[in-house]
Amino acid sequence: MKLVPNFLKVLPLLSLFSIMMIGSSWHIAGFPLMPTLLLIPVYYWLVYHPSWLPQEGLFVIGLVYDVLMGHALGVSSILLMGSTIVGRYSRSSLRPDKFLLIWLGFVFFSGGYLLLYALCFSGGIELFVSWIFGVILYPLVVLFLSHLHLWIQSHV
Amino acid sequence: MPLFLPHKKPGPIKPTPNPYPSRFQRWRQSVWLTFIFILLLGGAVRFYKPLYDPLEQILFEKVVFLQKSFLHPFYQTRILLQSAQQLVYLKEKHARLVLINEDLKKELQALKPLSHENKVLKQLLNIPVQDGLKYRTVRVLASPYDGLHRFFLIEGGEKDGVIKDQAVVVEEGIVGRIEKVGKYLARVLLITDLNSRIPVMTTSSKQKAILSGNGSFLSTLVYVNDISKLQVGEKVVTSGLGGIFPAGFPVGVIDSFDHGKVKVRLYVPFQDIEWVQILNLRPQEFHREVSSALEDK
Repeated sequence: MKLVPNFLKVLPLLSLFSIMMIGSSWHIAGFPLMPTLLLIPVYYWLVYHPSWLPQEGLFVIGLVYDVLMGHALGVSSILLMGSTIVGRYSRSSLRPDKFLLIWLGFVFFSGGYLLLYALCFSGGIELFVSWIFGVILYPLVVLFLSHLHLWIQSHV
Repeated sequence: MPLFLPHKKPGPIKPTPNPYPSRFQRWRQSVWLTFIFILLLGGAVRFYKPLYDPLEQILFEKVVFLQKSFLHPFYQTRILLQSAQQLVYLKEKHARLVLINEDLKKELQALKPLSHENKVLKQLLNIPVQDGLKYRTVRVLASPYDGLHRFFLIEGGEKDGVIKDQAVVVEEGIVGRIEKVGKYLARVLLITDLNSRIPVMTTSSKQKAILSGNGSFLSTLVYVNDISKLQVGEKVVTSGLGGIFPAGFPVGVIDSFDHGKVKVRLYVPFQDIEWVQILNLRPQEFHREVSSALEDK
């Protein structure tokens, strides 16, 4: 039984889940951090280890997100699952040692995601501010995620 | 240690454990096939209402419960910090409250004859006296927000007698109404939400209108009888129409007129609320009675 290694492989999904649960109530000056805060771990794992972020897991995460935010069920699931396909094709153009390039990639990734999100739910200026917050907070969250990544890799 | 390390596993590359995966495994690895499969399955469930509604209800209860567990340590830490802060100012606050209390006692003495006079006049005019509203105080667990919907998750559900569409208030005024009820928790749609519409009236010009939420703390008055009669600074209260909010509850004050739109600044400080009161009204019974009365006609 490879119980422990299998559990460790679920940790990326759990990191997504935790960030979503805790960050959903966080605001800065009345503006939300979601949904861009959720996109940081999604993008990170898509770029560095997409096999640890299965579509089924993202489907469930999307459902939970919709329930939490009071949206119609399934829309965020489709957007998140769609982002894995985008990640699969775009990660080849990114280099893991070029942090600024990956950060720039996140700017485009989150911008595209939020554009679709705003079209689906008719969002406004709050989403734009959330995008700015997410881009600024990206290095901070990635610092935590990269340490988690190294720790999982050393144990799996 | 550098800030961002390249994620390379040291050591020789190990051979793949199974170089010839099964057909299922190959399908499983194809993101497109998984995407389409989940999309079809999810789509079927989404449009099959007998399955979708209970699923949504179950998910709501479980997810909110999970969030409560996640936020519990943060909530306790906040309470601890607030308690420490309050202790520092307690002495000063006590001295100020003693003074306020003295003033209030004097005011109460002056109001007693007026209250008696009011009661006598009401009896003379034969106005039905409304019983004091009963309410239940519950804690606000979280206020998830992603720039679109504004609501609170509160610690009170079916088990506590909370029902859909009950009014939720605080000392300062109206907060919102119960939108979704779980067994132990419920969701409150705030009056600032895009989907919120509540019947209101102005206190001086007596204009009835609908207060429409727009996601910000400045809500808009729509369907005003005569907009020219409104004035900046005029108070807005609930009109009691619709049967959800009782009449006369404070809502806000007219802030400005912006391109023909009447902006109302709300009294309730939504970001600082920790406890809310659910009024023990039965709006659904009211709606039933209204619809049966209309049918009789």
